[in-house]
Amino acid sequence: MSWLLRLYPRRWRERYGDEFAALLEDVRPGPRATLDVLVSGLLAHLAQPPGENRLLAQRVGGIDMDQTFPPPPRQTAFAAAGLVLIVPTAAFLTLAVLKYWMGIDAPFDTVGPLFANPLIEPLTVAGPFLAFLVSTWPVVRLNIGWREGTLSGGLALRARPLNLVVSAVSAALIVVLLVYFLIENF
Amino acid sequence: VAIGPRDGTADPGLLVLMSLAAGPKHGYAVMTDIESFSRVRMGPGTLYGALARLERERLIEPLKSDDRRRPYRLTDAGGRSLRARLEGIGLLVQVGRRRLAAR
Repeated sequence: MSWLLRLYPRRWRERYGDEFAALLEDVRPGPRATLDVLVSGLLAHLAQPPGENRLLAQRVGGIDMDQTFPPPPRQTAFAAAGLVLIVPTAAFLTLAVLKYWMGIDAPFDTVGPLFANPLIEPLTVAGPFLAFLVSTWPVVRLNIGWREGTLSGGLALRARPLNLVVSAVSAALIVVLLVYFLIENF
Repeated sequence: VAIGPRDGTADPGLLVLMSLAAGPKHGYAVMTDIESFSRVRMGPGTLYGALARLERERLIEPLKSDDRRRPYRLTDAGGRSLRARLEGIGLLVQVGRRRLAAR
């Protein structure tokens, strides 16, 4: 029956594998217990400890906070997508600073017309907002659901440096864009 | 005492805590003990799912063992948690009995 252990997460097997195998030797599971092990093995993947996540609160607004929730997936991919989304805005602002603050006109005058492109222009404005959302979403995660008859949930902060950097740069670009908008319109 | 699988009191974590309240036990001993006092035949996967969760919540802790059959014991926090849950169940039982008696 030891093949059933392969259904469990590696970390779980490292911690409980030997003693669980000993229990299976004692129990000699029939079809029902085998099904129980199969299902529990799959559930163990969902109930893995959150690893580097940090639990921020044990109880929020009457909701019991539970530490057993799956870690947020594909964080690096989201951060990379955020990074791509802020490139047009960051490039535009850098070239604008070079031209209007430092008197270096050539780069802006050469590339500037590109930012009037109907595809690039909206991305230059909306990019930081989208980048902030996609890079922050996997960093802060709130899971709420019914569990054993009570409302429970988990609040996780997975502080991946790349996500935090992209979030911070996006937030800074949003502030610059808002200031620019206010100066231009009021 | 007959505890059905859909009965709230048949929560695996609660049954494991109740079993360990009588003293440290390894997995198989917990399983047979639970069956003896609750008639719940807990599957090995369910049992170890509950043990892992309770250990993560520091309600139980493993004891050193030379054998592969590692015993677990209730922690102080586990004792407090069990007491609180049993008091809650006791309250429900009281209310239920009072209401049935008034019928």
